[in-house]
Amino acid sequence: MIEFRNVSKYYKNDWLALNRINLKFDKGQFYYLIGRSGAGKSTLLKMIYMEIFPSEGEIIVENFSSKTIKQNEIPLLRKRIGVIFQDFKLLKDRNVYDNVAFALQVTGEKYQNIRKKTLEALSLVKISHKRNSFPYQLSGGEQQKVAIARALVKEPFILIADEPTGNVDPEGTREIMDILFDINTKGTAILMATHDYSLIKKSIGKIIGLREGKIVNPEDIFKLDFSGGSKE
Amino acid sequence: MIYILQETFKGFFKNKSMNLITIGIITISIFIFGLFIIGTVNLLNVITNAEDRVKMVAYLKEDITEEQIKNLENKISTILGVQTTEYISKEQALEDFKKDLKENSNLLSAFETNPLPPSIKINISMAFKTPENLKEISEKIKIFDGIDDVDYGAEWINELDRMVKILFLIDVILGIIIVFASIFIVFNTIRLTVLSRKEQIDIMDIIGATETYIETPYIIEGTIYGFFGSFLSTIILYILVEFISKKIPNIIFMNKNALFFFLFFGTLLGLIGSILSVKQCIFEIREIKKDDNLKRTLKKRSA
Ligand SMILES: Nc1ncnc2c1ncn2[C@@H]1O[C@H](COP(=O)(O)OP(=O)(O)O)[C@@H](O)[C@H]1O
Ligand SMILES: [Mg+2]
Repeated sequence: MIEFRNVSKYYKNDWLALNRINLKFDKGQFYYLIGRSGAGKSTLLKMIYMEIFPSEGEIIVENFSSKTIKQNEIPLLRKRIGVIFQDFKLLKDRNVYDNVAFALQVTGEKYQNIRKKTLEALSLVKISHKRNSFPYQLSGGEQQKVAIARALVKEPFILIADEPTGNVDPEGTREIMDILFDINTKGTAILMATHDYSLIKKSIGKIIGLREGKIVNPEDIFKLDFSGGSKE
Repeated sequence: MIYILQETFKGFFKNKSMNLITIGIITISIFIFGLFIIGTVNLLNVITNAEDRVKMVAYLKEDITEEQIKNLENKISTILGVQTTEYISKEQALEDFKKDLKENSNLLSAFETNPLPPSIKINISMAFKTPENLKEISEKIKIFDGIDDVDYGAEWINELDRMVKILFLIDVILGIIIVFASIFIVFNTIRLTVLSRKEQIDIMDIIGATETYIETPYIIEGTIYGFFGSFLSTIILYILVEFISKKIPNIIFMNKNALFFFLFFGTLLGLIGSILSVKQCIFEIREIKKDDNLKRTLKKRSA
C-alpha cells in the first residue's frame, strides 16, 4: 500500500517537477502512469522507492514514511519493492543467473533458498535457457526479462516499471507486457510509467495522467498530448 | 559474508590495469613516506652519536686526597642527570694524552713534571644533554671542595642544540606534509577505483543492498592495496638502503619493529582511504540523484 499526501518536488529549489500530488495505490492492482516526457513520471516513481524525497508532503509505503525513514531502513523498503528501468540496469560483469541471485544475496536471503528462488524467477519470465549468458549477449527484451526476474525474486508487493519497453523491439514489448499482466494476475501490484499509449489495455488497469507535475484526467492526455503524434 | 568475499574477489580481478595503477600510486606515496622515516631515523642517529660525545670533565685541585676524591665522586653521582663517574689520575691522564699524541709524545719531554691535573669524567644521561641542564650540573659541581674547573664544551653544545632544533622542526613539518599528502593521494586513488564502478554501486543501492554489503568489498580491496603498496615500497626501500650503505657505511635501515609499523601504516592508510572514499562516493551518488543536477535540467529543457 502506497499513499502520496500532498507531495511536491522541486529540483534545484525552483523547478517544480511534481505539484501537490495525492494518490493511493492498492495491493494487487495494475496502474498506468501516463504523460509525455518531462511530465514527472520518473520523479514520482523514484519517490516510492525513496531515491528522492518530497520537498513538501509525505509518502507512505507500507509502514515506512518518507518523513521518518532512516538511511539504514531504505534497504528494507527496497526489498519490498521491485523496480525495472528503461535501461535495464543489469550488472554487466556477471551472468543472468548471478544478476538475479544477487538481489537475494544483498538482502540477506538464506543460502539454501537462493538457487531455488532464482531459478523459479528465471522460468517465470521464460529466460532460464539463457541463465549463463552475459547481459551484452542478450537482446533488449531479454535483458528486461532478466531485470523483471531480479525485481520479482524478492517477492515484492509491487513492481514499479519506468518505461520498461523504451529500449525493446515490438516483439519483445508484447512479451514484456504479457509478463507484467501475468505477474499482476498472480497478485503483485504493477505501476508502469509510459508515454506510449498503445501499450495501455484499458480493461486491465487504472490510468493516472500526469502533465507538468500535476495529476490530470487521462482522457485529456490522450486527446492533447498523444493525438498530435508527440510520442518521443 | 561469503558473497562479500566473492564480490571483493571479482572487483580485484576486474580492472587489472586500474588495480596496478592504484597499487603503484600507493607504493610511491608510501615509498616517499618510507624515505622520510629512514631519513628521520638516520638524522636521530647522527644526533645521538653527536650527543654521545658530549662528556663533562671536572678538573681537580693538585693537592687532593684520595678520601676527598671518593667523597666527590659520591656527591657528583647523586646529582640528577649524572649517570656514572670515573676518576682519572694525573698519571692516567698523561698516559691517555700520550696515546692521543702518538709519535709526537716527545713533545711532552719539554715538561719536567706532569702538567695534567687529575679529573673526574662524568657521563650525563641522554635527557640532560641540553645546554641548560649541562650548565646547571656543571655549576652544582663547581661549588664542591677540591674542584678546580668543570668543562663540557659549552659553545659546541649550544651550536649542536640549535642545529638539532632546526633540523627537528624541518623534519616534523615535512613529516606532517608527507603524511597528509599520502592520505590525500591514497584517498583519491581509491576514490577513482570506486567511482569507476559508480554504476554498479548505484544499481546495488537501488536493488536494496545494505551499505555494509556495498562498502565492504571496496574496503577490503583498499586495505589489500595498502598492504601490497607498503610491502612493495618496503622492499624497494630496503634495496635502496642496501645500495646506499655500500657508499655511506653508517646509514641504518629500519629494525623489525619499524618494518612492521611501516606495513601497518600502509595497510591502515589503505583501510582509512577506502572507508572515507567509498562512504563519500555513496553519499555523493545519492545526493546527486536526490536533487539537483543543473546540467541535466538545462539539457532537457533546451532539447
Ligand atoms: N535530477 C534532476 N535535476 C533537475 N531536474 C530534473 C531532475 N530529474 C528530472 N528533472 C526535471 O523534472 C521534470 C520531470 O522529469 P521526469 O520525472 O524525469 O519526467 P518523465 O519521467 O515524465 O520524463 C523534467 O522537467 C526534468 O527535466
Ligand atoms: Mg522518465
